[in-house]
Amino acid sequence: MNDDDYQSDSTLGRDLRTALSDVATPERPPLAAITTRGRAHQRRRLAGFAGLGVAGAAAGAALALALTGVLGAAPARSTGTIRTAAFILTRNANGTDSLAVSNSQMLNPAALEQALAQYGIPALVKIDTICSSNLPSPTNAGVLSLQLPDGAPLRSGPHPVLIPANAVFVINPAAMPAGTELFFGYLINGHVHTLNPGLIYPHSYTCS
Amino acid sequence: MGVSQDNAGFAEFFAASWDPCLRVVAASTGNMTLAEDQTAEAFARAWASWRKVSRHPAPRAWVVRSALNAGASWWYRRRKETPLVSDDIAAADSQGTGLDTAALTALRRLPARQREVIVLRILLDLDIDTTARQLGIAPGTVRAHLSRAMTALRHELDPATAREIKQ
Repeated sequence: MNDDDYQSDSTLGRDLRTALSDVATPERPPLAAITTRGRAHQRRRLAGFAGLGVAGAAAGAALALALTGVLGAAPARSTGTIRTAAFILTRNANGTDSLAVSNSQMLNPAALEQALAQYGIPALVKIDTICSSNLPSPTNAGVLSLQLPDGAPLRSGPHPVLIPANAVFVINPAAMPAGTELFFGYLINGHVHTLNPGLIYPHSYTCS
Repeated sequence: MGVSQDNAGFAEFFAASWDPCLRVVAASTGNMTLAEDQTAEAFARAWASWRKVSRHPAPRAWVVRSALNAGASWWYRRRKETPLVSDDIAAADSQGTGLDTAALTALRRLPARQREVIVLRILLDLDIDTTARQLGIAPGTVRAHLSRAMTALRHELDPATAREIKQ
């Protein structure tokens, strides 16, 4: 069906739009309620940017110090585990990496990107943003699997899925298609934090 | 653009877009209470990023997608806590709101990507190219999803007609 075909299928479209217009909606909330909620988003975002700004301005040891200031704990390399207040990244014996993110601590995107990079995993981490690759979408089969807090495994599908932030991601860097990088969208909804994983081509992706 | 102009612009957008966006989100989720919260959250995010959103080619689509993304995480949490509760809530919550019509019920039965395409292309009346940009997929892929979605909706709403078309 091309666009013209859709236009010719106007009865179905009209039925849907009519059904939609018949939906009864409650009264619009006051604008002040929205802007108050919006200000909370701005504050959280600014807090994230402050961490990024400090990290971006520093280098080498200075970067580690800056992250220590933001996160309260510097990554420890020798044990094969990078541990911060917000996440724990563990290199497994089989070449995979396990990532557990705290549901109660604010994640610093730069710190997680840096930790993943230390283990050779290119990644883009953003707050309150979801990015997806433009076509052709890279296949993420075998790259990411998820372990839910109750022990149930959940394999990610062809499209990014929203999962609880306290799930454990198992990352297999060897399965990443050439030229791709991991994406993690860290979504904050009230007190609940969720992590939205995916795989993108760094030169061609869209965020919303 | 000054702050007061920003605020005035957002206020105007909010007043004009609340109802249409809420309807679309509610139609997609089948739950008016949840949709109201998700839509408010999306407008709050739009306010926080208004300079970016105001230049977006389809700000209402931005709000709707943002609301539905917020809802996905809510749904996931609820599904883990109480299996299938979202369906129960949707059924109870849709009574008297007009969300339980055959057309909207059929819409909610579509796979997520097909439903997104229907929402953006038909309910928000975006063109194919804008829909494709919104979803980060190719226009041809939008057409394919649209075609499959329309076929599924036809089949759901009028199985006899759908069989005739197929033959």
